[in-house]
Amino acid sequence: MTRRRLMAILVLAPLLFVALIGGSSWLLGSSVRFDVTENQLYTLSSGTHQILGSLDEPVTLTVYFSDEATRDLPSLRFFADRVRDLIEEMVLASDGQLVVDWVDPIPFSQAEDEALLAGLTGLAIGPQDTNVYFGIRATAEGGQTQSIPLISPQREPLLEFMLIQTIERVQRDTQPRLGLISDLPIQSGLIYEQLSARFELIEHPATAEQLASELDALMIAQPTEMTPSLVSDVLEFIHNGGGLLLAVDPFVQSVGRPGPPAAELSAVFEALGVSIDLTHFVNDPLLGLEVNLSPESSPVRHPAILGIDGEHLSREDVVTTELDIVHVATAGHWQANSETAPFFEPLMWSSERSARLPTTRLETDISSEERVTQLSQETPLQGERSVVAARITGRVNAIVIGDVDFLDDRYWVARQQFLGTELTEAFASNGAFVLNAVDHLIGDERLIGIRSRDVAFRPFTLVDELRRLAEARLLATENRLSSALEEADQALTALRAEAPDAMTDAQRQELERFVERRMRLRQELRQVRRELDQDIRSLEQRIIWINLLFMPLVVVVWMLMRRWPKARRS
Amino acid sequence: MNTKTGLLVRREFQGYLQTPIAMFLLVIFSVLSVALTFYIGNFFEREIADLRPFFQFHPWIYLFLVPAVGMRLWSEEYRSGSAELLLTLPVTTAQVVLAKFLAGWLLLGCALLMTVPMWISVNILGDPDNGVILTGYVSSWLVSGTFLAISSSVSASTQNQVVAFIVSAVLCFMLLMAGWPLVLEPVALLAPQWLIDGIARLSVLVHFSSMARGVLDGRDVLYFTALMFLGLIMTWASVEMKKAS
Repeated sequence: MTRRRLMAILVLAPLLFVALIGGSSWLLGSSVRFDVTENQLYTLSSGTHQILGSLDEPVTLTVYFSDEATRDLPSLRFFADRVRDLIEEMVLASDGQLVVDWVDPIPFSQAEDEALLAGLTGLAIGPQDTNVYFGIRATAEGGQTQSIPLISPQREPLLEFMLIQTIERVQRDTQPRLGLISDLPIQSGLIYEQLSARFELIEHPATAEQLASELDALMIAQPTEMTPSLVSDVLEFIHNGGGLLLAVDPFVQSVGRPGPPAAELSAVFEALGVSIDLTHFVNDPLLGLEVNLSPESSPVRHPAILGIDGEHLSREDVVTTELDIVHVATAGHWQANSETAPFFEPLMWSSERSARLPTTRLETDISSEERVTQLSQETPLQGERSVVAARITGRVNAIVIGDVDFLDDRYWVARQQFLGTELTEAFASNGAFVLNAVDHLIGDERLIGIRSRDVAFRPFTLVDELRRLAEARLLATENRLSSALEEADQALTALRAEAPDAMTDAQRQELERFVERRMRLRQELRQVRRELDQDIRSLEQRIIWINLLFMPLVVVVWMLMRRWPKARRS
Repeated sequence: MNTKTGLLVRREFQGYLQTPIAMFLLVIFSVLSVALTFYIGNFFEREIADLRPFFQFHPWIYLFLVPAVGMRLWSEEYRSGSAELLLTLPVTTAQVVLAKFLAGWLLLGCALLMTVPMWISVNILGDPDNGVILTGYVSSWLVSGTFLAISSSVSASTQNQVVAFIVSAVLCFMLLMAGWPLVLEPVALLAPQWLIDGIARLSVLVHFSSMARGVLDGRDVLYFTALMFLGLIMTWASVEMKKAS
């Protein structure tokens, strides 16, 4: 080949490459794509297909994306590309009912005004601190609108759910009506926010005389009083097959600490054919969550605050099948009466090491270190599983849960400020459980499968396990040492009382021995506490060294063995 | 693959094993990637069962490791004169170019395989999404191949290994940072948005992180294969030029 041709290749090949990559989006689109994540995080779920396929009127998605202001923010632009791919896939699935319009809200333009009007949040990250917008407004044919104020890359796995929920909501003429009977101040919580976004929420104060008409479902959460006429309305609702979500707690320790549930609820329990023991709570050191009792103390495992995870959630029930973990606190145990038993399906349960303790053990404060230590000692080897939540079918259609603390934000969601905007991030599936339950009771299961992908938290289970074991061991040693210490103290006091003034030499020696023993015990106790994390630290060191040295050593040895015979020969 | 290329790949690969280069490369990559994961990426403190802190450093390690492998692909042969001998063998230039590249890429693949204990560790510690880890490995290998093809083309155009190393590293760095203000800002003043987007789309990091999420996207795979192909074509053209002169 001539030099000129070769030169031409050297010059043209890079240009061709740039053109190919530049045009690859246009050439391939998002058609060639394999999602290999376990939960298919980046693939449209069947629920999405169902909802999009059944849209009977067009929905317009206006995507406000600051194209101009993000010139220097490539990572955000690429995220925007991925959002575009997802929306395009949705458009295809919608059979043309979904119309998309991308708008650049340039500062001080009419588009920016529209974006603000739609409730979008601007982030001051553009050039000269101009606002950057990335949000979506969905508009139905009738003119109703719904918005997603901010799409952030951190929440990419949730994007499909947020979009489909917005689309589903905006195209619905009427929202399902959900009645709520509760005196709990849950209005500031995220679950309340999510419920009122999805349903027409009809609240009933304690003094309400009757139940609102035409409810699609009813949620009762620990009302402290109920009028007799309201109770009879509720019973009628239940007997007519209305869906009921009932949350009752033997010991409410967050959400405003109201009193015990209304005595009138016993009629409701009877109608459902279940009972809950309101004098006992579930104590489960195995499922206990690590909590910080005070800002300065190190975290301890609290056996009354439980993380009910995969093995303790029903995998057969659509409501819980895909949930990761639900956090509950001082929960109660549900039981079916003999008639209901065949229709009673547990949804959440405690471990086999759990016990039910009287709520009097909690007094008013469950978060003192002393109390936690006491509760942790209640670990029967052969305990009894308690049913924390269950579904009741047959003549009725209800889901019951023995806790209301789980509705409180602090048990399942973290709120953080991100560039002046509040972002919420779920670390447990409490919200998904409530929404799944209500959706299911109403009979709309399409959103359930998508919502459950919400929590994608994969902890180091082995480290958790080690921590649990170390705590159990610490507890045993601590108990032994504490009682030995107590004995020594008693013996000392007795000795001193015996001869307050004049001690014999033998007595003095005895006393010294006790003092010494006491000091040694105290020292040992401190040591045991220090050793709590030792297993985990040594696991870490082992893993680091194995990873760091094992393979390099193998290679070096192998190479030397290969070279050795040759070196000898020469 | 035809047998001649296969034989050449084997010869080249065994060539690596006869020098200490392979050992150094394997050991350095494995030690560095693990150390960065634990000490900078805080793999253990996060207590999250994934390998993100592990993969995020790979492009930066390749940045100087791959040019070190690539620089000798051709410069060495030119300097010692063995290139002439090699090219008089009854094989085409294209076969030699491909074989040298594949042998180097295989070696880099071996370096990646050395880190399998990380994969095992994370599975012992928790329950990671192994699909995501698999695409992490695939994308990491593709990045190393891309850098190697570029280094190969630079190496083919100079006899000086040091020059080859530095130029390759700079090119790879620019490719890594293509979408970032460092590279974009000088262009942004003059260029239209479509050109800026086009340049940003050339960034290795963007395609790497897109794949490492757990999604094998045709566009990302096309990007890496096209870049490798480009590097090899340029290598081939440079070698042919030398041959002609």
